[in-house]
Amino acid sequence: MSTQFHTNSHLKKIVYLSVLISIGVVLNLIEPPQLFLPGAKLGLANLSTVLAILLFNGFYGVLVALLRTVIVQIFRGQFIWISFGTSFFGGVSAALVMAVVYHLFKKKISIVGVSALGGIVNNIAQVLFVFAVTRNAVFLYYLFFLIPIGGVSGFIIGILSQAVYNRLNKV
Amino acid sequence: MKTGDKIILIIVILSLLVGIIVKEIGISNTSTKFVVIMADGKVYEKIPLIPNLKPSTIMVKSNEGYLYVEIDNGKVHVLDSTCPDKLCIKQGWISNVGETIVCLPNRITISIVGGNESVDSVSY
Repeated sequence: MSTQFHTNSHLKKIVYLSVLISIGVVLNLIEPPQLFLPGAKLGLANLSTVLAILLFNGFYGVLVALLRTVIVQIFRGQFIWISFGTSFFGGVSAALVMAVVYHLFKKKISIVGVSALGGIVNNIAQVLFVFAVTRNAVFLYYLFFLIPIGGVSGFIIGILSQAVYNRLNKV
Repeated sequence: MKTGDKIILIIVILSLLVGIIVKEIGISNTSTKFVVIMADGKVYEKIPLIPNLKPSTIMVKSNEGYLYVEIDNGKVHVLDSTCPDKLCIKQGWISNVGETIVCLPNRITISIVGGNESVDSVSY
């Protein structure tokens, strides 16, 4: 894949990706840990995943999500495999679904819609992971509330990424 | 708004409706509340939640660590925990059916379930 790119565009790509990943890491670290429901976050870091999908392709979106979650865990200074698992599965599965949907249905869904879907998938994956770890079925019932929350936060992230994307295109 | 966006909006609204309905049914079927403490995926203790009872503290141990749960006057909270993020302590008191305190690093959950003798599929 890499051979077909001109050296300059390849370099540009690497720079963009590193910037996106570092933005994702910082957003993840400075974000308040919970808003009004335990574990409910805005998920600002997903901005970098959405942007990577928009600017490049789905593969890079998944790559950004993967590296971002791993690096955040290193920055936090303590490795808790359960916390890592939740953010990792949430982020990567959201990136996967967003990438697939964006490429298959580009004409039928807006960026905001893709991002909202990503938020929903993120929450579903996290709840399933927490359920697998704790075996407490209460979380499956939480899903009904976490799907709308994911949709709303994904919607906000979508608007943000659309704005950033439009500005980046002018550069 | 394109077709895909509408589908997502419908999913969101539907799940919210289902959630509210399930919650309402869960509350209306409740005669007693129970505190269910789970550690390492197994039920550690199930205690009926009765108001006007003396405060009591329980130590819950899992393979990853332990924490102290305080039950006081129909409410539950985590007093102290060995976990690094302390989110379980910050969450404070819970008292309603369906509310849950999770201590993910310790693999411990404290949830309030409604129930008669037969435990329904939603809460358990």
